[in-house]
Amino acid sequence: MNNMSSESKLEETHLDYKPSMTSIVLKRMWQLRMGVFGFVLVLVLGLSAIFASQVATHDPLEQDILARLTPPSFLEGGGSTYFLGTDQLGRDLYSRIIYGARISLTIGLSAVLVSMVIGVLLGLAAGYFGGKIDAVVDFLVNAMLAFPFILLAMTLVIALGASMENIIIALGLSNWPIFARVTRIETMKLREQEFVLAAVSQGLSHLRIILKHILSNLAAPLLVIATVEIARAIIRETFLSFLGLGIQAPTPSWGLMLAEGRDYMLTIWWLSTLPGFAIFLAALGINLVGDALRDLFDPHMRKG
Amino acid sequence: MRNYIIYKLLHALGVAFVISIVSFILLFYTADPASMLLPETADAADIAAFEKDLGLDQPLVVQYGRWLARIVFEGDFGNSWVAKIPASDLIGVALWPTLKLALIAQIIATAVAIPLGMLSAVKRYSIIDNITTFIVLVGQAMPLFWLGIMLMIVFGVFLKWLPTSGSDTWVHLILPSITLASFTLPLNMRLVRSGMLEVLSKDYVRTARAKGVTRSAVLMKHAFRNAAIPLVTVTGMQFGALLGGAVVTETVFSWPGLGRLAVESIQVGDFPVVQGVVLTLSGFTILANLAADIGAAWIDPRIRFN
Amino acid sequence: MNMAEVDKVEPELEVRNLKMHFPIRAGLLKKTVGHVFAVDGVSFSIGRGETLGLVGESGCGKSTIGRTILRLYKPTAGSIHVGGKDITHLSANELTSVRQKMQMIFQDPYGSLNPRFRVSELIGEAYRVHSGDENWEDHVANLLDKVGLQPDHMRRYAHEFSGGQRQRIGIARALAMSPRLIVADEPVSALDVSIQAQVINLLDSLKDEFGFSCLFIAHDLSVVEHIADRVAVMYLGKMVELASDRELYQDPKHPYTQALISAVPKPEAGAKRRDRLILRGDVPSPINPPSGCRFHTRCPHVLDECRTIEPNFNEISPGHWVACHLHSETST
Repeated sequence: MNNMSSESKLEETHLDYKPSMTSIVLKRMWQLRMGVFGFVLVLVLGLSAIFASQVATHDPLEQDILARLTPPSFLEGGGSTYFLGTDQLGRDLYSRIIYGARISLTIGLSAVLVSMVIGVLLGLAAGYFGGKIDAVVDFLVNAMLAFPFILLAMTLVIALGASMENIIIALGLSNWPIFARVTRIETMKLREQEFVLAAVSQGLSHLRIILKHILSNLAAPLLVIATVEIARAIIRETFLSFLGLGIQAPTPSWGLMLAEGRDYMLTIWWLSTLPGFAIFLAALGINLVGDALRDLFDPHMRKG
Repeated sequence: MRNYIIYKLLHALGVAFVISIVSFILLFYTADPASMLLPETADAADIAAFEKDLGLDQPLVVQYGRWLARIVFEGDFGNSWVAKIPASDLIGVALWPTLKLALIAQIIATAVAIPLGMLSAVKRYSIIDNITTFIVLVGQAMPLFWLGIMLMIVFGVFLKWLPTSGSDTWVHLILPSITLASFTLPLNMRLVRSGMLEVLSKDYVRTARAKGVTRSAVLMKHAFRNAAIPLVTVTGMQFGALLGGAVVTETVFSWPGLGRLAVESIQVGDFPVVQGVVLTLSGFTILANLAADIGAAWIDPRIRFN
Repeated sequence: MNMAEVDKVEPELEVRNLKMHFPIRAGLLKKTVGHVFAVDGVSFSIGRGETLGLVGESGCGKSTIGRTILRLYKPTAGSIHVGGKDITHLSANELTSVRQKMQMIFQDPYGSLNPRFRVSELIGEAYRVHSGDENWEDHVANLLDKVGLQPDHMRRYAHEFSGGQRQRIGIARALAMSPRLIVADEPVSALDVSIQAQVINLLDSLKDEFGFSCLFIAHDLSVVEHIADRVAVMYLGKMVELASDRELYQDPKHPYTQALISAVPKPEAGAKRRDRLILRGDVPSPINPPSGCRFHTRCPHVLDECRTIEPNFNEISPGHWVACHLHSETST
């Protein structure tokens, strides 16, 4: 082809105006800034989850009926004791949100872990060995993807009972096809590479080839997908809790708080809005980190 | 082409079959008809007789076969345990509102995604591009039901412009459909934009432009067609996700569709209705995937010969 | 090694009537609609310490032979003997020990090295796994030195090296388990011409030092001229000529070999200017090879019998084999 680097080629060939250097730089800085912003959000999320007891101001379960439905301190009527106000039972909203981070993060990470273990194992087997195993796994993956996810997760929770462990299992079991599909495709591509052939010709066992040669090259794309799925798992858990099928009261789950606040929406709007905002920020941060990771591993995958 | 269609049809049937098995098994173990339909005073003997009556003592495979046969040949999902009327009636009533919602939402999403996506690809680094990127970012992280609630609060409570529940007039459709549209909008925009970018940088477009073909002609003829292919495939595949999003949206806005029906039935344990809804929604998803696959193969002949 | 010596010692590699046909599947049910006759009845042997050059154009089956010998494929027919042992039908488990003694050097310096591995692991993985030697890194350092790289480059990753250096790493990897047979599958084809000579010379000296037998596959006669003891020429899945290095270049019998040789530039001042033999016609496809002698569609000396009868691979003078009706006394 021509001698320009592939990146500048992609940028400049089809434009009939030259974007100023400033605007290119600005956009790149914006992307970088977004990555950093996302990282900060995730850091805050993680630290809140780990150090909840230090960061929160009150016990999330402690009720102060006299102070119920206090507005946040930056609105009129709000005091300084309760930073973000209290809910209908007088519990400090801020502390509940902080502890909610712990719940959401735990569930998000665990559910994705479950999905990944199942999905990657199946995808590896299907992609590497091909043949009947591949046919069966491929078919299963397509079948499960046709199933409305939410309903599958909901039914599983009902079947197993609503508890944190069961939500993790339900979310994990519903989402493995995504990992299986990607793993399978990437494995099939990798299997054709000459370094895999070289490993075979050296008398290395299939197990070793799969675990060391193929898996090591899968880590990057899997990580990118995992971050997106963690964000989605968090959102889904909150929806399940919102429906009453998730974490049970009085544990502070963001989704549950959203549901509880819905009845007061007309006047006490912050009860629903603030936890929801927390969910949004968490998901946003994780997505941004995922984007940054993707750019890091393979700049050519950048979608403009 | 015909072979491809047959292959895809068989595949779709197989998938439907697997889904029916999975949903049957899942719900079989969660359902408890005795406690739902028998009065509280029933004792063990009554329960045993009841179960025999329903054929619940038969082997699993037989029960599955009978259940499947009834559905396929008679369209009978059984009676709702709560409402005591045929489940298919409830489903039938709820079907159209969901389809209406999904269709309008998808139209909105596509109508916004295409111009924005194309513009942001053509004018990279411009304001439009930044706005699009922003929408994509925010949209992907947005919990759907929080957005719904927020829109309700802003437009329904504070501004009082729009109604927040019910489905009588087309005005009621606005908030739910916008909410649901935001679910698929980010992905659509990204696809259009990346599809356009890829095509625009291809040599044959540069050649056409060098020959003096005007920009808009080039755009419409070559670029859009190629960028449209992934959009078509994904729209079909996304239908399943769209229906999932509909479940959430309907719950938030109390929209009388299949999603809300499913959630309520699951919450009270109304087994036949849940099954019916799951099968109906899955059925539509499979059909949509099928249509997308065939449509994509029709547009791009390379797909037919894998 | 002269011809008499080769006969007395058991050959390192012996291939008899090897066939490798790949099925072509199409349609819904993946029915087999044809075959690619990549290798269609090839026999030869390589003696201890000997280097056999295998030359032919793309699609003639030379790479396939290399991979089949290493049992990366299961042969459709024929047999392969390594060090006297028949390895044609061994299972993957049984092959593990045999595989340590025959290694491959790959053509693509970029695809043949796992990008996630350090050089030490790339070279020494199999050695460490099979021998259990705790000091395997010393062994790797030694190998790096032998192929002309710095031993402390062990810690680096493959992408930090140039194409030629990567091939050296590949060579070191092949040597790690002290194999008796090395199949070099176009090891220099992907390299710049100036680097090619370096790598060939390296292989040449390593061959003398380590004493392995070598099947050197190339598409260019000039590449094997220096390093090979004997040279074989392949066309469309069949071997058409096999002779000692000198004899092939000075007295090629098969028309195809003659055409290949005439294409090699001879930079000697005052050398007689040979007429370039230009072959007419397109190369037929290995899916549907011509009847009779496969070369007959492009041969400038084609006879009637060439179109219908396949010539046998005959030894027309000691150590010189040809498959051509022009040179066989026994044509029916």
